[in-house]
Amino acid sequence: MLSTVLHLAKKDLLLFAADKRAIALTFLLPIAMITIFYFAFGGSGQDGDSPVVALIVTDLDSSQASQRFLGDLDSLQGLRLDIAGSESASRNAVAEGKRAAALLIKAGFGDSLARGGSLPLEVIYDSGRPMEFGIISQLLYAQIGDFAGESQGKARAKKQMMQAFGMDEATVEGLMAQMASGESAAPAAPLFEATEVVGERNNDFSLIQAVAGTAVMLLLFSVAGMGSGLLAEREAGTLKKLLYAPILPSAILGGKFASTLLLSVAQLLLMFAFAALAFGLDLSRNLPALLLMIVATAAVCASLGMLLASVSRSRKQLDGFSTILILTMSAIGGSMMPVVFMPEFLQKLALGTVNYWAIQGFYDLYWRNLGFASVLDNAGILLGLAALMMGLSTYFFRRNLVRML
Amino acid sequence: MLQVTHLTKAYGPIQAVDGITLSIAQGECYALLGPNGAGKTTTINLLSGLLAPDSGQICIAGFDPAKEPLRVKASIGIIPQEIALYDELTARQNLHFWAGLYGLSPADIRRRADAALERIGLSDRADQRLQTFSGGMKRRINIAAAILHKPAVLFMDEPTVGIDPQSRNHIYELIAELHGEGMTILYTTHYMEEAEKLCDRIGIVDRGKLVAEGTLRQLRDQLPDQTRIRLETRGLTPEVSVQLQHQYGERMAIGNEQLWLRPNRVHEDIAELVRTCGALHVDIQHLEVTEADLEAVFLELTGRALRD
Repeated sequence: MLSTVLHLAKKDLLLFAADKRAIALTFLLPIAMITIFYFAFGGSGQDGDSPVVALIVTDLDSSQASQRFLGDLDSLQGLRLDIAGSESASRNAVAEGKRAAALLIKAGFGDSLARGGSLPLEVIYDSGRPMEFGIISQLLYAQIGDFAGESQGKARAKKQMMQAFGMDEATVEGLMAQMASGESAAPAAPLFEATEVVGERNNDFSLIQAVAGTAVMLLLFSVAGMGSGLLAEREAGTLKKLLYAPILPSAILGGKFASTLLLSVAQLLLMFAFAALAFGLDLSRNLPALLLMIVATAAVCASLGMLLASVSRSRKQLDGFSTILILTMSAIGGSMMPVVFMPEFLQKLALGTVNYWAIQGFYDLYWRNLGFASVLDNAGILLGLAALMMGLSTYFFRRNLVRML
Repeated sequence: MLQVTHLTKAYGPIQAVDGITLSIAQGECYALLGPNGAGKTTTINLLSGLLAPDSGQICIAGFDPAKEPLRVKASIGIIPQEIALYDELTARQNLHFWAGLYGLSPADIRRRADAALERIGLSDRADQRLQTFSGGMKRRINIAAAILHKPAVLFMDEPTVGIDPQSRNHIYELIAELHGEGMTILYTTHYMEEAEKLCDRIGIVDRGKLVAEGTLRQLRDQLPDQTRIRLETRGLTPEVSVQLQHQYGERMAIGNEQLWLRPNRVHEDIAELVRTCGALHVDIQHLEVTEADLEAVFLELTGRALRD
């Protein structure tokens, strides 16, 4: 039986080797996709390349205070300021979808700041771009708080000192300058102590997300394509001819699974090797655990491919069905974005996806740096799912055999 | 070598195989002759163990496919109707793969594949992919793939459908060689010429039933008179066919725009038939007086033409 399975698998590998398009899709496309996803998730390792949101600003006050405020905003990392000469230009930029938000610094900004009154600022935004606006509003909130707190705090203190001690404005400003120089000499005590517990890592989180998430998603697409080979054999008549031979139907499925498993392992190894060479993913730690996770991930993906092929009546049906299933699993399982960003009910649904267990295993290895024992659970669940799906595949393959002929 | 008794198989209301009983001796070449849909391929699928019969017994090389399917499969070779090969692989890779399913050693596989390629005249193209081959060349590889393990019985399911005359002749020669070497062959076809030319005995199947069997001579002898007037016509409508059938009764068989008349007096019958066709506006393309062949036997037995 095993020799038959290997013989059938060898034939599939020969067929694969003869198909240049399949080779490109299996090995080159994932590399391209990992690269794209890596940069999309904000990776690069260089601060200057951090993701940037753009804010368009019109300064209708043109005071020293407003210019200083703009200078402070401009120095923020992750925010790019574009200056518009008029209020209408700013409004139009948002209305026409060129920017997610605009800031209007209205006339009287400097005076209000000096008086300690509310600041005449207006933010115009596009509610259809909540993520960008969320980042902008967070940055603005923090910056306005700091800027107004500092300026208005000083204004209020100066006023109180003049009233309380009967000093003139120049004397009070001199005293405050002395106090400020004294403050700067003494380091401010931090509000709390922050300690990194997840590990002293060299690996970039976005890189692990890009490699693990993309690898699993693309592998699922690859195995669906390989599984469709079973249906292609039916259409070509070779499946019927295989059934004429003295072999069990389960050997045919086993051969297809074995070849898919081998190609899946190769695909995953290539993806991780590429990430190590191109982006510096440190694979030196936990190599046996990585291999275990790769085999378990390949096995579960290959068995899903077999299951999809066994229940589908035609390649067209398989294509449609697998695309929907894989995109759904990838979306909720963490391939497209980390599951922590999702609502709680989706996080629970993610537990039912292949992607989730595979990606979490790779996180454990290369983000949390937890070692071999930590991935046993994930690998066990993946292998269990693989066994379950292969059992179902065998059942459906046998049941649908006559229809398949 | 092969015994079948009261074999039946139905697909819902359609009785695909209806009580077929036949026996093929060691080294015999037996043709199952019948039109498309007569149940020939279903019979082969039943004999090969691919389908389970509703009833009946099968014994091939001493094994029952229901009880020992793998032994039966190891004893038979099947050349299916469609060319079931891997176009992306070379001829040699294809042969090695198919032979490998029968438990042959690697050395045996290499030796037999080389010999088979030599035999079918494709040694010079052994390492080229099948996608560069003609349909006829693929058919020959298809046959070679089925005989590498030297089966006790070879099932050939319409192996010459859709190929050029030159390749067809190659295949006929190959079958004759295999037959000459003592291989037992079950050959299905709807070409009567093939059955006449290649096979020792012929079984005529129609609508799942084996309606007659025997040698060509025995089958012809079943006809009351073996002379036939055969007309190839154009414009033979169903209405005209009914009129002709009514006029000539059981003496006439009609099918596939052909008329077959069992003559009482040849010359008079020809003259009358030509007049009748003229009156019914039936265009006569060809007319001949001939010995009854399998087509005539089939028409006589089933009332319809083989290629209807």
